[in-house]
Amino acid sequence: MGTAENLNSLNFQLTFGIVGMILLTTFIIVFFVVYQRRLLQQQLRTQQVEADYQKELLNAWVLAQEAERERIATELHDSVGGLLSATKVYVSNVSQQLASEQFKLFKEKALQTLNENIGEIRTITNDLFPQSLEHVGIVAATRRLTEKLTDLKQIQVDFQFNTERRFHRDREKAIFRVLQELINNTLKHSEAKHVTVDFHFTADLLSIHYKDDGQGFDRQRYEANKDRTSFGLKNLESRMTFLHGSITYETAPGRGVEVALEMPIFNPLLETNTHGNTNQVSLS
Amino acid sequence: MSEELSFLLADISSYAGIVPSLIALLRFKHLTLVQRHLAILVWGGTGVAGLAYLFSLFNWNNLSLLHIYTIFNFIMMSIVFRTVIPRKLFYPLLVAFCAFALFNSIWVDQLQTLNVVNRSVSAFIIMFYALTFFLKTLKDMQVQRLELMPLFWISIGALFYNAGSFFIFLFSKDITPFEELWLTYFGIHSAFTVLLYIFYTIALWVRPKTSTV
Repeated sequence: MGTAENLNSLNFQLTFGIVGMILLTTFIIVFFVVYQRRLLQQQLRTQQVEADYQKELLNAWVLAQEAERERIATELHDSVGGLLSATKVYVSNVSQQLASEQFKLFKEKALQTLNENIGEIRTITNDLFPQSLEHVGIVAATRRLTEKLTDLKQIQVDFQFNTERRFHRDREKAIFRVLQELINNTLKHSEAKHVTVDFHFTADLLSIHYKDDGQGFDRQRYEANKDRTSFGLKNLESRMTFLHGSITYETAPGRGVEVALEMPIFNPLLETNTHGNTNQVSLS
Repeated sequence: MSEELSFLLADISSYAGIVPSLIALLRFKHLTLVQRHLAILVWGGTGVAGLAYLFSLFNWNNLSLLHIYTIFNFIMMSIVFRTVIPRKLFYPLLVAFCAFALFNSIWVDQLQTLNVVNRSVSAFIIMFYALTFFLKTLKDMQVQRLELMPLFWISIGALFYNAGSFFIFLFSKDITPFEELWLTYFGIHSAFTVLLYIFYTIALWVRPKTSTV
């Protein structure tokens, strides 16, 4: 009797143990396979989103380049081209047969348009690549750029910085372009009265805070029309991506635009190619 | 389970290693490192099964072979799973188990009896290896096609076989006196062995694209 009970008990324990273990194993394997597949799909989706975003950035970059070329062409055509045509007219009218009064007038007019031409070319080249950036660095160059705000639209500028540091010229240029775009946006669209620019350097980072009190824009509308209307902002994002930095902005209709930029100063990929000016200099 | 079915399953399990052994032999040049280690394990297992059959023909006790095979199987499985076992654990586990198994086989259990403890401990650790592989695969998320990964099939086989056989190993001394029960679980164990070799065959058959696991 005892033996039969032992036998039954043993049989039950073994059956229960084996079935339990097999069910557990099946569950673990099924869970593993399903979960792995889901994670993989999620990973692929994330990669796709990232690839789309990179494509958008590249697109914005190309569009920005095209727009810049168009702007330069228009400026050259409208200002330099017009002035050179006028100079040509004055110079072609100058001849030995003219009365001295008229000769003097045409000569002065020709010289005046030539001077205007030189001024226009200086403005355009300065827009293309500001010499101040090369010579004095990002903070001073940006300060000079903000002077445009006061000169052209009487916008009051509050400019702050903790120090000036030089870093790789490509990175300086890229961040300068971002600031140029922000300042141009303020000039063209914002109707702002007051702008704040704040540079803050730490050992490895540059943080820039840019704020205007202009009309701002509807962010949701901007997001909805992203592909068609906003390559300017996308261009800023693509430049900040190039800098391994970040850009965040806050805006609402009638509440101005507030932009925070942050980027590492050094990039190991570029450090071997610097123009050696990673030292700290003070602004005079 | 009938006596005939148990013996039939036992016979099939004795020959189950032949197919993967032949595949390993024919495809050895093209096998990855993990597959080659598995091939050695399969050849060893098939060799031991053949020897055990010979012993039984001469009515010799063949349980001593099981003691040797348990250690060999554990070493080879550890090598197969080497890429997923934490480095700190690999050698300590290997050395500790081998020392423990040898001590147990020589001084505690007798070589002519079932090595219950060794097989149970070995099964437990191998299940741990397989689960570690699953966890690591989920954590790394580097594998695009699991079905082309030999270690995936080895893990499934190892998990099913050891989970199914764990309680049989553990209770084997208790069920030996009950002949009918013993034959039933002997048959079930044989079925799990066949299943294990089916998974080993798939593991040797698949051609992973880049990974060595």
